[in-house]
Amino acid sequence: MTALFAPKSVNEFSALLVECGERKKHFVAGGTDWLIKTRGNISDEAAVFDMSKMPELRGIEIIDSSLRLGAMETMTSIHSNMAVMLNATALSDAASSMGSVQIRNRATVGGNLANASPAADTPCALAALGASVIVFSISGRKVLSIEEVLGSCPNTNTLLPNEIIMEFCVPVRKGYVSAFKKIGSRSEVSIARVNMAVSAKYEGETFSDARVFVGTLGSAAKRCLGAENTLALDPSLREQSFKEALCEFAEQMIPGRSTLSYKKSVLKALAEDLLGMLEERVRVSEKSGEESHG
Amino acid sequence: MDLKIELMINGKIRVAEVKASDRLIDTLREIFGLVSVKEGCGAGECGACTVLMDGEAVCSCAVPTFQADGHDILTVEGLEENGELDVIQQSFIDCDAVQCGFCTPGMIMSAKALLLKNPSPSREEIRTALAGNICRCTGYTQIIDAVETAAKRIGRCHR
Repeated sequence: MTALFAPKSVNEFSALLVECGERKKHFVAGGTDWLIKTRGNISDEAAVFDMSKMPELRGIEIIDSSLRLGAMETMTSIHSNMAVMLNATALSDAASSMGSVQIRNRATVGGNLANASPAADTPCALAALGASVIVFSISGRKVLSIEEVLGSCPNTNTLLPNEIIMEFCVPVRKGYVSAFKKIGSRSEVSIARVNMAVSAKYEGETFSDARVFVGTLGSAAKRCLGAENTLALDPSLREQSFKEALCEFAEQMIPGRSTLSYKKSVLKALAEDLLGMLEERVRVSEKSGEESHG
Repeated sequence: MDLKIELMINGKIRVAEVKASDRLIDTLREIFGLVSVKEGCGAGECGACTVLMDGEAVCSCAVPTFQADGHDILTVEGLEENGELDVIQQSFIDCDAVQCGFCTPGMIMSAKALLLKNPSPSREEIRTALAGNICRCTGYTQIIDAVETAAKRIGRCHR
């Protein structure tokens, strides 16, 4: 019969991993994807681990110049957290637009990345924010980027069988703004048809050091270097060039696919919206800076 | 290997032996007989199976039962007190917010979670809170009216 474990600490988890040896292991975070994927079909030889009882996998806090997010934090706890809203706004956007209230109350940021759906929302935002992923296994910890965890195969992550996502570290950088937006088939509770996240440094009306990631083009987070360069252009040229770079990128990622034309028009609309969001956030940020210095 | 869990369901401590693959919806319906919890899509998209877990709305079809260990679950069966319906239930009746009734328990539990946190929501806030609950009969207007009415009635009681 399938073994079921609910370790209450990472130490206990490590001991159980050793005890289970080569058995196939299921690491269950919020369970929202896992239950639907497995539909009760779990091998008798497998071991299922409930990850929800380990306090080391929880918490949202600023440590030095990083925002630390425990992998078991839910979408609700993330988007309602002020430190996330202020320092990782794109992640707050992504967490608040994912699924319904019911799903946001259960789905976790670690699970969202591990599940590696190309339509996932938070990996795209985390990648744009330059987040690193702290991976734990009995042989120690390692640090990976979001793209390294996602790899190149949709719906599969690159973690080894005994590795788990423990936490995320998002750099907290002054003078940067970020935003995430998606378009799906419903106005709410929608799975993204296309999603995109941007973070950039601002100085007056110009952007630099931009990171642009697009989801749903075969992976949850593909970096678009061409679009990043256009954000540094003069504001009068920026929007058009940004749109063109995104369309060119879609052509490279999904050449000949029947949805290409749709995705290109959605990318243009998202580009417009995201630029508007970034510009508005720069205005708010500059205003609050003036007020705090005034 | 089954896991023995202990949880609070509608104010009473309950124990159960659960398997890794058990879903909370099945445990509530089949072990505890709480058939207000309805299965619609079985994929966390329709909200018919919504219950409260520690006061938060969740889709019980998307919660592994083992994760309910040590938590507090509330279903529609736990809303009635001393033979009186909860104000949300009564408002659904008074506003004709029930047609076939299949989505109603989930709608009521989502409304309960909202009003526990925000006793005087706007219509927009009600719409957002109920966005994960699908109704194929009423067109939603009466449902939103019912939640708004319940909020007003709760407000009057607390004045």
